[in-house]
Amino acid sequence: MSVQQLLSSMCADLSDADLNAIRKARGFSAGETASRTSFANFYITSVGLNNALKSLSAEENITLALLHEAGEVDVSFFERLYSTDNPHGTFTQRYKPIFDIVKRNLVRRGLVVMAEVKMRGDTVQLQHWRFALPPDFAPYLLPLPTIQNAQTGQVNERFTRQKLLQLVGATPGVTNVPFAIKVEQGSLYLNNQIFSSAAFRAWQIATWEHDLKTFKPNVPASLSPIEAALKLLSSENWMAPKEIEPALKIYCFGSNTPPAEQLLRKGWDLGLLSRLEIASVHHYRLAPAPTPIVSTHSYPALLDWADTAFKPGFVKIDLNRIPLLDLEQINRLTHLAVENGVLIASPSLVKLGRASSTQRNSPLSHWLAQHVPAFGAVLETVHAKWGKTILHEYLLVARVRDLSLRVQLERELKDKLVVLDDHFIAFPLELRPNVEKILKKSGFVVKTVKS
Amino acid sequence: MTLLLDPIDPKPLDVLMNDRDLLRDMFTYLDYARERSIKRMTRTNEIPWSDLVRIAKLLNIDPPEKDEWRYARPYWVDFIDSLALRLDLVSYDLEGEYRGQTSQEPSFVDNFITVDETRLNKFLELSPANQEKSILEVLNRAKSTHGYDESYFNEFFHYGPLGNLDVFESWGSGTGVIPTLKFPEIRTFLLDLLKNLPSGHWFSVQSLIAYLKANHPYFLIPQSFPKGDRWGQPIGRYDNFHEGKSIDSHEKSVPPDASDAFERVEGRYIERFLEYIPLIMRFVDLAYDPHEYSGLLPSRAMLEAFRVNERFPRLLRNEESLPKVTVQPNFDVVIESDFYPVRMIQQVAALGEQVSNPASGHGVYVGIFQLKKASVASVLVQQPELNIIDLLKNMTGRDLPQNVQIELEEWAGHADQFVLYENFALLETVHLPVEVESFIVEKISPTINLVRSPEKVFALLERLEHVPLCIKHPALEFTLLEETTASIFPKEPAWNKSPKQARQVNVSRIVTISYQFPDQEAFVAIQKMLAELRCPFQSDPKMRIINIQQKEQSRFDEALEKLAGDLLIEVE
Repeated sequence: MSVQQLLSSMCADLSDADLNAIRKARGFSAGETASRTSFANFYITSVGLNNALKSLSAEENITLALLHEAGEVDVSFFERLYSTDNPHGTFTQRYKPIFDIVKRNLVRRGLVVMAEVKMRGDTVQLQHWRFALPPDFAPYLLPLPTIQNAQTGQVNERFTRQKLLQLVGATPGVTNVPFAIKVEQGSLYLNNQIFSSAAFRAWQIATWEHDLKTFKPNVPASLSPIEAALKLLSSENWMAPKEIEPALKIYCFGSNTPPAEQLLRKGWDLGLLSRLEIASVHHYRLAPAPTPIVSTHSYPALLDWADTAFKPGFVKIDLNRIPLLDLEQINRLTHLAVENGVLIASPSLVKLGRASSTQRNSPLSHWLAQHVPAFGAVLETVHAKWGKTILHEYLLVARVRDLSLRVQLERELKDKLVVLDDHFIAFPLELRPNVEKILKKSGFVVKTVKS
Repeated sequence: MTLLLDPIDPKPLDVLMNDRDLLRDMFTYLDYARERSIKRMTRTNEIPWSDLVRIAKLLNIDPPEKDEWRYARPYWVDFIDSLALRLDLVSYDLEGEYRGQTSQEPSFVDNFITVDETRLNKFLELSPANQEKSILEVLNRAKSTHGYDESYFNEFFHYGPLGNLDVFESWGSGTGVIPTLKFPEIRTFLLDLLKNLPSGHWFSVQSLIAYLKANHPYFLIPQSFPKGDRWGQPIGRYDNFHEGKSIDSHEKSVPPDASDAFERVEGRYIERFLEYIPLIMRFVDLAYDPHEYSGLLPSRAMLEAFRVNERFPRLLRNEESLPKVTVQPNFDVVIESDFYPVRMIQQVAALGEQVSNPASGHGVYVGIFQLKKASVASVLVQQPELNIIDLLKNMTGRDLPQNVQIELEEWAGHADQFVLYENFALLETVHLPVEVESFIVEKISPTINLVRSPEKVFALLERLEHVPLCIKHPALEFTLLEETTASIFPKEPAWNKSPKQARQVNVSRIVTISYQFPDQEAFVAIQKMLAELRCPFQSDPKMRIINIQQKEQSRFDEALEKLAGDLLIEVE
């Protein structure tokens, strides 16, 4: 059920006492609550929202932020916020007191929508109740306390570089996480997938989870401590570990959450977080996303990670310096190889041919064409040949000898059919039943030739 | 000794003729079992009700109401099911498993019926008469599928699927003379006796019993039957056969020295024997006494007459004639056969559709099919080498009507009007390398070729430095190609890149008027009156508000006027 449906249902079924409580808490006028139908529209406005939210505790605010992430939940979701006295009782014994508190503290304050939804499988009446936060309220939720500071802080690149240098045998494996990095048939692979900054980030997160032995709890809507930290930290403002602690408790309810200081420090170690010391306390935020040195304009004449004088037609890559995005891109455009402990790139017609036109026309591609003549020549060949030879897969091709049938098919399928010549047509796979229906109607049969 | 029986007039009797064609029904059941997987019931191992009803409908049997199913299962379907099992044409678990230590009966979990295609094909290779003979053999030698009730799986104790007569109580049939009797020999003896009777004449059953008593008094129980069972207990000749006022009575067995003992035991057997194989296989028709039975049970002498049908001596004397097929100028194909010619029916049915329900199985089989263009083309798609004209000529043994032959020739060309290529790829290129030619299946145009093994072709083109582009089209539409590509496939339209224009939306204006009523009585009254005047309105019972569109104002005013006698309503 959508939040809108829950809201309509709630507005229709609210008792007058509850409606009055919401009216008072949010400051609606009597006219605005006069019609239940139109009240649903007033409810999701910002009227009185700031005051209502300010009246909540910090934990309640954080819980509402998680509720926004989770969508629709049942009453057990609020156990993280209002603990139960009877944890081993029946569902009703366990959650009825919580239900009453949620209704009093959140629903009657006009912040959380609640409606009874009959769903198959739910045997307990209390389970029928569903709760949600209207998405329009999310921007008004109070943020966690952070500090603004113009300083960029420190990003630890040690682990990132160690992992990359593993490729040329310069360092041993950095962790036990089995994400192998290797060059195979001219391409760089991480965890058997073509190398990308996203795959690299996945390795960093897997290492983080592995080192701290954290897991995602088997509790609906709860996150693992790593997921929670990545969601709660901002990319602009700094946060002290103690400020994030209560939020972690709520987000990771049911999990083995390590102390926030240990959690964030490990994230920084792995290069996922930035760190800044403010008033002798380490503060953290998300590390800036990997971006090329210059993403939109042409590259400078000299790239500190690329050595074109190494061998004619080759580029020697310095794994200590190359930005991850450049490594991802050069992996898509060139043939890579490791020779004598050095990663080198050479022009590849095949890889350039497979690259998208955006990748072929990227600043890095232009830089390579300018500074490595062999690469320029290959790029020119690819530009000249690209789009002239096309192999179409996942299509159905048919020879239609009967002209009236062909005309009928063209009329019925319209732009979902391509006429290849007088006797041949092509159409998408899923249109086969439609074609067979037309054939059956006209008294024709399908003769199938299989590959 | 010649078998001379008393003729009888069946007019005052209730005649029972079996109209079920055993072969046709069994093949219908097998087709169903092949197309839909039948999962047998976990507790009883029977065919579930839903499948039973569907099969019954296919066999033109009226299924009983569901709430009566326990008492009115169409036993013919169950009989066909067990016959297919006995012929080894299907298989399923008969043992089951005891799922708990306190289980009293086995359970049959996920017990699906599987059709044995190899055995079925072997069976289909037999001529129709030989198929019937196989069935006769199986029925003659049939044992119970349950080990524990084997001793009473015979005409004495087991109800026939079509008959009307009751049976002896099976109590004690595991001991005594019953386990020593050789029923297959007994049945063969009786069938051999009956095959010599003239067909089409009604004879008295009692005269048959009298003939047997006089000439073959030990045809059922040998004169020298064992005098003791395997535990050393003495065996009496008729100890197993009990009579009484109720069907389950087993207090009094038939005395062997009674003057009518033969009629009471062997006579009853003859009646039930006629209801079993001879009736099931349509060898005989039967006629019953229409009056209610009032003697000791099980009933006796209720089956008064029988008539041997022509197919019986024909089958036993191996007088099978070839099926007769006629193709008529109106495209009808008529098949006539003594026995159900399933192979031929399958072949002809594939070429068209059945236009008449075959004559009920009592006489010869007559089926009429009409040849259809789409069906003929469809058969030719699957078997391109098949010459349908020759096939029909071979069946009929003569030339086809000229118009039919001309049409069939034209229809044959219809089979490849639409040829669909599956799992191929299209290669669009101006410069086709020689190396790729071996992968080409069809040269569609100078620049488009249909190729197989697309991965290999792509790798080859890459190796040859053609810079190929591989487009994997989604399931429902084409991938739009970049404008610079040389292709006849759709490309990204130019408007995709032009600035977005505002979409024009035309809205109609509807003015709604709301009236809020101060009390429930007035609110209900106005609703009733508006409804009577057919005035469309919406109401909010909680707020007691009535909403009407402005154009309905006159009808609302009319409603107020009509209510004026009871309520003086004033709108503020």
